[in-house]
Amino acid sequence: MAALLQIKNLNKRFSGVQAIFDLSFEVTQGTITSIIGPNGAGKTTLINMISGFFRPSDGDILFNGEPLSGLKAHQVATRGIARTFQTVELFGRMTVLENVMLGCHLKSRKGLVSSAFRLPGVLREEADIKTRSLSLIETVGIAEYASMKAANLPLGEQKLLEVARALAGEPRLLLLDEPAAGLNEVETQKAAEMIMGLGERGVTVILVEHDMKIVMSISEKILVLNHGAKIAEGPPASIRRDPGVIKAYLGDEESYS
Amino acid sequence: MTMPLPEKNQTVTHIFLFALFVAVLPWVFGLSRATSYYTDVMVFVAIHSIIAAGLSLLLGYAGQISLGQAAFYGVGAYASGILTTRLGLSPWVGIMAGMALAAGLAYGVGLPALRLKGHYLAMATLGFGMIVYIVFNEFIGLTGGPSGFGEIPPIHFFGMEISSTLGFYYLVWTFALVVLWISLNIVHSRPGRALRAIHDSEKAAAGVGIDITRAKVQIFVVSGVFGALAGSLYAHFVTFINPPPFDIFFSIKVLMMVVIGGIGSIWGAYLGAALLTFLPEWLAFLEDFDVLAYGIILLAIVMFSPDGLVGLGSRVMGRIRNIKY
Repeated sequence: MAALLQIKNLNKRFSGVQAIFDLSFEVTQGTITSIIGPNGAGKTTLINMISGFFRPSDGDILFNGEPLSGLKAHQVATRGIARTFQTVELFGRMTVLENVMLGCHLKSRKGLVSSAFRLPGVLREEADIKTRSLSLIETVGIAEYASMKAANLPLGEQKLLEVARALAGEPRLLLLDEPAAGLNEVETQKAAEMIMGLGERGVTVILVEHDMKIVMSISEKILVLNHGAKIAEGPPASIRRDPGVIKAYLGDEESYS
Repeated sequence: MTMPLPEKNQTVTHIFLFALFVAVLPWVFGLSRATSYYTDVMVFVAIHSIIAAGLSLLLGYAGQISLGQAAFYGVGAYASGILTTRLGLSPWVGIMAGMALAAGLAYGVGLPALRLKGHYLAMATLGFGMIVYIVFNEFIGLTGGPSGFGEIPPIHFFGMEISSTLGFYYLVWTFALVVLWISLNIVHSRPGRALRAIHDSEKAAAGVGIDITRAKVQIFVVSGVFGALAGSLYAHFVTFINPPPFDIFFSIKVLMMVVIGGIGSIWGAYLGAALLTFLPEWLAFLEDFDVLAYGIILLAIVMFSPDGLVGLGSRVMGRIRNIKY
């Protein structure tokens, strides 16, 4: 099967600091791929580049065989890539329902003029995306909060809302940046089950996560970054035993003996 | 699970009730000689409401400040004035031309300024307003220069000449109510939601595929078009125009209308427009010190009720309800 996402010799430099170093990997359609590594390894930088928020210094990102280079973030979203943010980015003053309806932005079309004059079809489209959004809110399990302001939600629910909003655009590739950070054990379990469910629904997922229990249990493939470079890639079982990975996480043996 | 769409139906009801109020108002004013000239003032309330509605969309929903709304107001007024007096065209053509020209200018000013993050639009529109003001003063052959020109014809509506204050009152309020309806429709739909989203988090907005620059430019164009419409109506009502009403101070006054009424509320823009149009009538005894009064009012609003009179009103209503139950 052809790769949905291909990263080729990707580099990112921030005024002298090499955040991503000559990185290449592929993501197969319909799989869950996790990216792990110590703090500062370049995981979020990578997510930001795939989603068009950062521009690579050089190298290529191919989505469905087409290069994403030069596209702005909203254009990348148009191609079918959705994301969540490490530090939650919700539309805080808007309701939970409105947040998800905004996720439908690319799946709806009514523009300024037709909306301004309430041309036929506007109300129907509004009703459609409202229904769709409500069912998504139910899917992620936060239906009871539908009319609450997003900023007032507990953190766990905020993270779930971000996922619901990302799914509303019916993406082919979903980038999750630490969906379990700050969650308690029960919430983490809930999030893990939901991500598994996404994989089963055919959504390709790239997961950045520190919680090894989640990563090891739901990923088909794991990519390990350290100082911006790939140090290992493979199924969970082989990553667990990889001496390079153990060293990167635990440091040199001398410092522990 | 289906949810009703309450705000839409309510919007139409509210506008209808407001329209009824506006329709009977001149007759209430007419009861007393002391208040009969208020109909005249209310014409200006409508004109100011239209221009304030545009800025309210821009400021309250896209989070962008324009200090050049008076320029669009002037563009509408001069387009109407010049096309009707020099070329003998219908006022309706003048109105349309003014709106089209304002749309083009707003696009030209907004596109470069709104590509950048931050308040570059405020600076760009400040400069734009000054340039337009200079054009009104210096292109004497076309604009009459500082002394302006008159004999701008009244508007004809289905063969009826609308030259009486009362006739114009109903015409201009019809426009103001349509603008209110359009603005509320924008706010309560996909493009309005996208604007509010940008205001909350540009990152997340881009993440869901909203073209931020495009959305901001679009609403700035709308604000320019509303400004030009207001200006055209002004020209056909007053029948004489010269540059002073279109200077930077009027831009600031429009900004004050929006802030005092309540940022983020279209109804607030109408309330602010009403207040700042009536206030000079009531504060006339202060003469040149009226500016001081505006300053104090603005300061008080910003300090004690940052969401304006509308916010103050809803808080007071909330208190009253709490007392009852």
